[in-house]
Amino acid sequence: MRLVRVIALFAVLALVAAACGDDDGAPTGGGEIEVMWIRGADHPEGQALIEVLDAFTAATGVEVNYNGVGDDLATILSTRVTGGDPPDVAILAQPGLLRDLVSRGAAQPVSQTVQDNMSANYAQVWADLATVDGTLYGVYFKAGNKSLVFYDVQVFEDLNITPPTTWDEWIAVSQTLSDNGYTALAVAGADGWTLSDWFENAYVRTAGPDNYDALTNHEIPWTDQSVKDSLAVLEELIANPEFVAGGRDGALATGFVQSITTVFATGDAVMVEGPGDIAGIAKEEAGAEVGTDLDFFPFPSIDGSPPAVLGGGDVAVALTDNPGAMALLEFLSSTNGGEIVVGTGSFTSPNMNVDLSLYADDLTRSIAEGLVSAEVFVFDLSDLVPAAFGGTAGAGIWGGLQNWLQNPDNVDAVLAQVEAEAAAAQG
Amino acid sequence: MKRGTWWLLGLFLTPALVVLAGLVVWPAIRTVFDSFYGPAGQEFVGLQNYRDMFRFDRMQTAIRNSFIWVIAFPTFVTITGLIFAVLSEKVGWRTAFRLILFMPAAIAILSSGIIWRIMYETNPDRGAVNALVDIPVSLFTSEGDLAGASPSTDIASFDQDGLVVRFEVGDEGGTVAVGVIGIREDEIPASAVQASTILAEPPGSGVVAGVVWRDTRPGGGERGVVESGELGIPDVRLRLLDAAGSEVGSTVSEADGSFRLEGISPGAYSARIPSAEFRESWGGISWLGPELITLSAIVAGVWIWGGFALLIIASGLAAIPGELQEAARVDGANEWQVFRRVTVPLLAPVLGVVFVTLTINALKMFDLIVGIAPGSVQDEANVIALEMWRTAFTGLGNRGLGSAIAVFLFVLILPVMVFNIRRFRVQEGRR
Amino acid sequence: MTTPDTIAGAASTDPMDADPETVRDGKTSRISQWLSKSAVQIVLVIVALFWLMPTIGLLITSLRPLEEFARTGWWTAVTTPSQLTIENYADLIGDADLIDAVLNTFYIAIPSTVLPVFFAAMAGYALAWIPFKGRDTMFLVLVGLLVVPLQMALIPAFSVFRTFGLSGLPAIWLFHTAFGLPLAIFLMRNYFAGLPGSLIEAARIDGASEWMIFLRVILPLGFPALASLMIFQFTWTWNDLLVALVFATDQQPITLFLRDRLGEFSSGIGVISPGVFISAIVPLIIFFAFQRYFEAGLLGGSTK
Repeated sequence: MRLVRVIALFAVLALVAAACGDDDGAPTGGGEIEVMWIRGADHPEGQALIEVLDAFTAATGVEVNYNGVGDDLATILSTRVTGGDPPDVAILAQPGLLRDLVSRGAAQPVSQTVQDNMSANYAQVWADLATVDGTLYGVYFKAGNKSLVFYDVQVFEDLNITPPTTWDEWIAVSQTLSDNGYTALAVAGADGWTLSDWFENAYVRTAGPDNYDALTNHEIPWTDQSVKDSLAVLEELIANPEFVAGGRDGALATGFVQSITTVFATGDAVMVEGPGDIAGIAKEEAGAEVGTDLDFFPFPSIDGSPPAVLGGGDVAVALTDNPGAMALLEFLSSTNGGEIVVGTGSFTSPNMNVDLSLYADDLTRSIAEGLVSAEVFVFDLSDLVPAAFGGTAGAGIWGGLQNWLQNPDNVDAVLAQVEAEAAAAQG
Repeated sequence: MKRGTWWLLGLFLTPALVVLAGLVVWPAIRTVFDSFYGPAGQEFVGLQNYRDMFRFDRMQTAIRNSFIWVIAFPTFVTITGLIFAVLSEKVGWRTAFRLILFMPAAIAILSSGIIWRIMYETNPDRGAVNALVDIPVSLFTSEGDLAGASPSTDIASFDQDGLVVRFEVGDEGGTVAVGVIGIREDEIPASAVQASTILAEPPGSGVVAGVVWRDTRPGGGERGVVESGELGIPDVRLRLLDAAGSEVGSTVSEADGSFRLEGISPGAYSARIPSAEFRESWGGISWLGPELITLSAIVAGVWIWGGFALLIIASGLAAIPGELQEAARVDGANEWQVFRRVTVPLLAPVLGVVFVTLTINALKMFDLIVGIAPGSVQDEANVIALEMWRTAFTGLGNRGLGSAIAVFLFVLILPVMVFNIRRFRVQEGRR
Repeated sequence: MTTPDTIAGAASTDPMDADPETVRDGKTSRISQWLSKSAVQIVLVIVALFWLMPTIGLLITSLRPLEEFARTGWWTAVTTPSQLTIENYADLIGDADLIDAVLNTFYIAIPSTVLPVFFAAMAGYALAWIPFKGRDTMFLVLVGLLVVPLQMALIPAFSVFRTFGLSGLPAIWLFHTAFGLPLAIFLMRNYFAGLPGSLIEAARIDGASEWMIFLRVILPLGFPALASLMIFQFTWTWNDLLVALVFATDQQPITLFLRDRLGEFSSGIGVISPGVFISAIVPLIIFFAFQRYFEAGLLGGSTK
């Protein structure tokens, strides 16, 4: 009986504690805003963003309630918007999501200050990405460079290899590695988006940025010869079983993190392509140090193509008329804000006027430099198209490329399938 | 009845009734209702969702996998529980044993899935399961010294027996140059030294001389030619076969990669390096790959639920009077016959309860799949309960279709549940 | 699940202590008897080791640095114990999110256990000892609700909660309560029904109210069943994933915490391996500490 009482007491305490712990974070207006993003406070990027938000609070006096909701952000945000209780600022990784919010009337056009900051500090492409029907809605305060190839420094040194700058050099380097008993590449074929990054990097270099945009907008079909040509070039490298860890089947079974540990932990491959995050992941998972163990070279040019960068980014959008929300966007779009973003050491800023020396290490600085000064810059195609086509496991672009990798000879059938799905999604 | 009893009844029954009515009865009915409507619950679509359900790839895979689960999972778990309930009867430390087997029941099923995901890592150097499988595998096969290597020129080629070089032996003897690439310096035996220049001069009448060497050096070098800085490969087995295919000699290469055979008359010959030398180390079974993921998950399921089955069967076992089995033994039956003819039939009701309970669990399987299947195989590992959640609560959230799947799940579970409840009632018979 | 009692004869006892094998003096020779007994011992030892291996493997993994996890298997720790470290645990202790997750799991599990057991006890008593018309039918219907799987109620329950402005913890408590009730009512009612009617009659004659009888007579007597049910329900809600996935908002239990870490941009093992242990400790402690109630209650409720 006593035990029952004790348990009942606990239950009551739990109820009370839970009620107290549950902070609704109801916007108090004026002095406080809620900011929503995918990264939790335990994630290095989440912590970095909190640093930025703290600096914002210090500068403006507006308190911030940060809400890192995880990968289901799209769903959670959608529910909140439908329920009439959106966060004040949401940070989105897909431009499509931004368009969706605008079409639902949930996004606030940016203030004049923000617009001025954008034209002063950013290349036009970043404004274009956040513009819907001629109105600017967001600020890309954080960007990623996805045209990087990370490699095992030790192996390159042992074999006296210099990083390739052209595709032919890259093939030659891979052959040298293979002859000497090394496997050239780790390809993460299990995760569709890594393959789509490979393809996009190749395509913008073989077909050019104009075709890239046309393909994005489905003005040219996926069965176009330019796509086939691009895949034929790509085949020389990532579909060559001799050059890829585990062969094609192995690649299709390898996930993104695994491809990194294959290079930097087990040493079963020498190079891996991907976004700047790789450096951090290699450090975390394999203890790889920049310079001694790990370095990168930019994705080589193909047939003399100009330096190009495939990128992604996160855009901050205001969803309420809380003045604090717009104040945050103004902060983020300013050079001062950009420098704070950079100073956290976790982010790369597309802001052209940010002092590059603020980047915490050489690696991040070079990556940022490549991003900001790229002659050709294109945004990740699979993020620009509807998610059902560009961002769904086993379907659309991702599924198509996996099918292609499985059997490159089947390219016509694969592209026909992708084209059908594109038509269904984009018209 | 006392006055005020109705009021009292209300007090006692209302909380349960209200909660059940509001959160079980009404929603269940509502779900059936919703299944006839569209994704956002707006338009009436009749049976469309049910038709669509069976047409989508993901759902088809889910149904097929759930079918496999329903057949295999209860069977394996019940058998496991039965075998170990009976076996553990015979040892003094049965309590400890049973506790060990039951312990996974305390861990969240998601966590167990994660534990097994780690164990199923393909690389035998990292994944426990493949490391275990590697033990017998490596007894029979081992990595060849020349694993991963291939000839540096096309005078040599692979066939099903290994590497072969065809050459002529003339009056001055014959030479064989077997240059290989694709092998690391640290992968050849440490005793290797600079490759021999034995091929620089004619070997002499009746002699076949050759070199097996690593045909690459810093800076590349010329293929097919032994150069300074290139290492010979020792301890490579070679066989010399004549034109008819009979062996005329065999040898092993020296530290500088050279080898020599004498007493070879002129003619056409082939030098062979057996395929065993080129055998690559075993890469491991891809347990979490699309083909095996469901089976691998079921194995993990046996680990999770085996102890539960064991406990219930063991208590049933304890209720069997020892005399019945004794009598059988006295009559000359051996253990297996006692088991098969006496024990199992007497346990039939218990086995039934366990089997049916596991069948229901198989249909509701969710947490384990989430924990064990990496994102890339989630579609291949899909089961009905997972598909329902994915459809209704992720992505765009299709309420109508999700409800239809839930109803489908209900229809599948219902007969099994009813069967189980009837068993309860039979056993709770008297009241 | 219930213990079967279809075999007349010896009452079933603690399943952990079944009768030892009786000594045979039949035609089987002593040697083959010894052989088979040793074989059984060996087999069982091997099986026990296999069964423990996954958990031990995880424990060792949690004591290794993340870089080692990417490189080699946990068994290498046996030969090179120097690689073991507590850095993963140290990092976690400081990780406020993990502490929150553990606390949140308590906040979820405790009310989700107490509420259904208490409601079920009340209903069970009424259904066992308060005569009224339609009582048996009601009991059948309530227990019959066992057939409804969680999934049938998830989506509309979500709406029901939104209508009443409930989300997060209270929603989870109520949902767990709802789906814990049918089985709980079944067990409680059966157990109470087996209590001596004379006690209750006597109390009524003495003028005690039903509520008094419930509190002072039924609950104390029903304690073994209550306890075992609470252990079961607590473990179930502590380890739950699906209900939390659907209804949890910002207060996430440890299952969601672990699931989130299974990410695309990190193996998460540095956090997951110690996290799984910390999560498993609580139900394991409860299970071992209250073991006797667990069995006694389940059995007691069904062998009356």
